[in-house]
Amino acid sequence: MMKHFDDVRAGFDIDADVVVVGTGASGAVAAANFAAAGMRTVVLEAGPLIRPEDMTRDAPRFLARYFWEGGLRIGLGTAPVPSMQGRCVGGSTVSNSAIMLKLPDWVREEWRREDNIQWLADGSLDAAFERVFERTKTAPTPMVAMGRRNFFARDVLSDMGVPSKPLPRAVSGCDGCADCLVGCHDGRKQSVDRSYVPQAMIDGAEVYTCCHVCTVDMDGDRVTGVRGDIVEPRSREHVAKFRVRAPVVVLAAGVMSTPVILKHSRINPRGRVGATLNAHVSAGVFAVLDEQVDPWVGASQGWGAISTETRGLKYESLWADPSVMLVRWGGIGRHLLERLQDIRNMALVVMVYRGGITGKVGVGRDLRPRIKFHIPDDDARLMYRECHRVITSMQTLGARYAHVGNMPGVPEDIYTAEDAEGLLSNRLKGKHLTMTGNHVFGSCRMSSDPQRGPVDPDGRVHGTQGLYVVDTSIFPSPSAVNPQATCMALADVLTRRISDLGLAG
Amino acid sequence: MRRDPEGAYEKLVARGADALGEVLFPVNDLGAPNWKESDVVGRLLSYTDELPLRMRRLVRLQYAAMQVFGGLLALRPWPFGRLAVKTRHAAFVRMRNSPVLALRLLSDALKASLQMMYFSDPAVQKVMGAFKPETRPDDPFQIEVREGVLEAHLEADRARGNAGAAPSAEVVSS
Ligand SMILES: Cc1cc2nc3c(=O)[nH]c(=O)nc-3n(C[C@H](O)[C@H](O)[C@H](O)COP(=O)(O)OP(=O)(O)OC[C@H]3O[C@@H](n4cnc5c(N)ncnc54)[C@H](O)[C@@H]3O)c2cc1C
Ligand code: SF4
Repeated sequence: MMKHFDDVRAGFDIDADVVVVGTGASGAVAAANFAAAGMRTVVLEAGPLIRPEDMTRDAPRFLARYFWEGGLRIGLGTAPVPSMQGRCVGGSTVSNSAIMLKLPDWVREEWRREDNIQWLADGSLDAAFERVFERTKTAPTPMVAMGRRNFFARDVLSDMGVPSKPLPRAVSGCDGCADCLVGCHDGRKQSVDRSYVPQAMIDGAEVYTCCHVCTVDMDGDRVTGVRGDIVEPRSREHVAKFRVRAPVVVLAAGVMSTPVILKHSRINPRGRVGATLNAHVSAGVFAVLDEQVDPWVGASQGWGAISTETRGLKYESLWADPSVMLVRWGGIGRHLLERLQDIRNMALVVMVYRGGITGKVGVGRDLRPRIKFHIPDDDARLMYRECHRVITSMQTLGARYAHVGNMPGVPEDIYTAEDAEGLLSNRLKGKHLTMTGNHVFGSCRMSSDPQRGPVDPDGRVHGTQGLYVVDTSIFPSPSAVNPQATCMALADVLTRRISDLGLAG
Repeated sequence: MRRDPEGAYEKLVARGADALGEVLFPVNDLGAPNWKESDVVGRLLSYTDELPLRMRRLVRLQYAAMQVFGGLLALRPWPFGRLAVKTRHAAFVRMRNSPVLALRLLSDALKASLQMMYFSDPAVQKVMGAFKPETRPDDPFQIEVREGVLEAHLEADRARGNAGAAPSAEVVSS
């Protein structure tokens, strides 16, 4: 059963065995497990359900409607970093590229060792990955869905000597429309609104949309439920209140929202909630070729590689609507208009690096996350060097010019090897990096040591009973690969254990 | 989807957006829609209507500030919109290259939001040559559909001497 705005606009006060906050990658898995275990499961989602007929290729409008802060959320600190998050049933999985990669063993071992999460070695995470891959129909991107843009990324990586392959994605029969960011209209992408949430409802979960959870209620150290506001999906007006009473509360509101809910509820063991934040370092190089690439077709991210030289570095092809991808490109006036035709010859290779970005999440006005990132200069320089390598290969393959963003000493359009030299300058720092923070983690780290993180290895908030966090915020450090599969597998393991424990908390 | 400005403040915002729109997307002989033809101002207003209140205020404030103070970039005490288009262009270029970080960030933000509007105009996407492999009949945003292009890309890739197909087990793995 799913309740929409009209069903809940008057508010409500109900009971449940367990309440799950958020229907994104982790919350949907949690809901499916609790419902399958026969628990009365109430799932609360701040955003609405997006039906295929609600999807639009007018990307700015789609973002304004279905993303937190209208898709314009920015982290401050070293440099402004846009950080997107879906605000709808399915969370960020509705808009992501569905790349599904297993947590590398070396990161898993680091998490086990440094945060004493011993179950990471017992095989349960591997079994969870298998279940997640099966339920989401994870498969290699088909060759026919690649298009020239993905093939060009392959050729660049091959020229660089980096072995590359099709990316595994949670998609069944991708038709290469490159529309992942604005939702997969035909339902090929197995975002969790199409995979786990329907299964949870079949098993009896009650999903309430347009319900923004503000507070976790506690009685001493024991959780008693949650409260929040009913939000009109378009205007975001708060029209009524709701309350759900439950002995188990599972937070899966994502890296930026979960710490806000906890802090607002004055639950902050040892001050560690939101005191940490990590993000992958990222950068991208656009190439303009002399041949027609048709970047608007081909799987959004079909091809990629994991560096064998630099641990934690990945390369991927990428495309999304020009109105989102190219907002900083192109110069102004006639110069910009002359180059509209160049876009059809464009391809993009992005780099994602584990790096050492740190940060924090505070609580701003209207319960908005206040986000800060610190980008180390050395990480940024590694990215600039990689951009230089990628550009060199693009030039070898005949790129007319390349573009990496606007930074001192580097021309906006890079035509020659000399133009690219500026990328190797030590004058370039973290503050010059044009990156996006869509891979974010660790705002409520999982650790046996409460000094290191507020969530224990069972997913429980230290010092509480019945209150759990299972989303990407519990990653003890960056995953080094795209995080969706890992957060789903972690949520799977943790919520299976919670449902085994029954309601004992 | 498109709409006219209402009230004094919105008119100020619209004048700022219009003045910058002309700088970014001027009348041209290149076949590209200019700022008026693509109605970037009306579409900016209707887009910001859909943003959460705080972001809506923030984006609109940027245009209002540009209209009120933008003239100072050209050392003129007038609103930005009252400057000749050439002067506005030069002032905006100066803003983009300014040593003052706040000015650079503001110019980035203004260019980004207006360019978002321009690039999301189906008429502009048509000039770019954009198309999709399948239609979305219920979407008000309609774009040309061309079938068979991906198959042609795959064929061309094979013709270049690539295998064109990877064994199904071949996949990036961590
Ligand atoms: C554009 C983009 C592309 C990406 N591509 C990939 C990719 O290809 N592969 C990959 O592995 N990862 C990718 N990611 C990252 C991945 O999508 C996220 O890491 C993952 O979805 C995080 O899962 P989550 O459950 O922690 O949060 P989310 O999926 O964001 O879900 C959180 C949910 O909680 C809801 N919520 C938040 N606050 C409240 C509240 N107070 N009350 C009620 N509900 C609330 C939200 O609306 C949302 O539905 C991408 C991310 C983005 C933005
Ligand atoms: S590229 Fe298109 S068909 Fe493939 S998963 Fe993305 S939206 Fe769906």
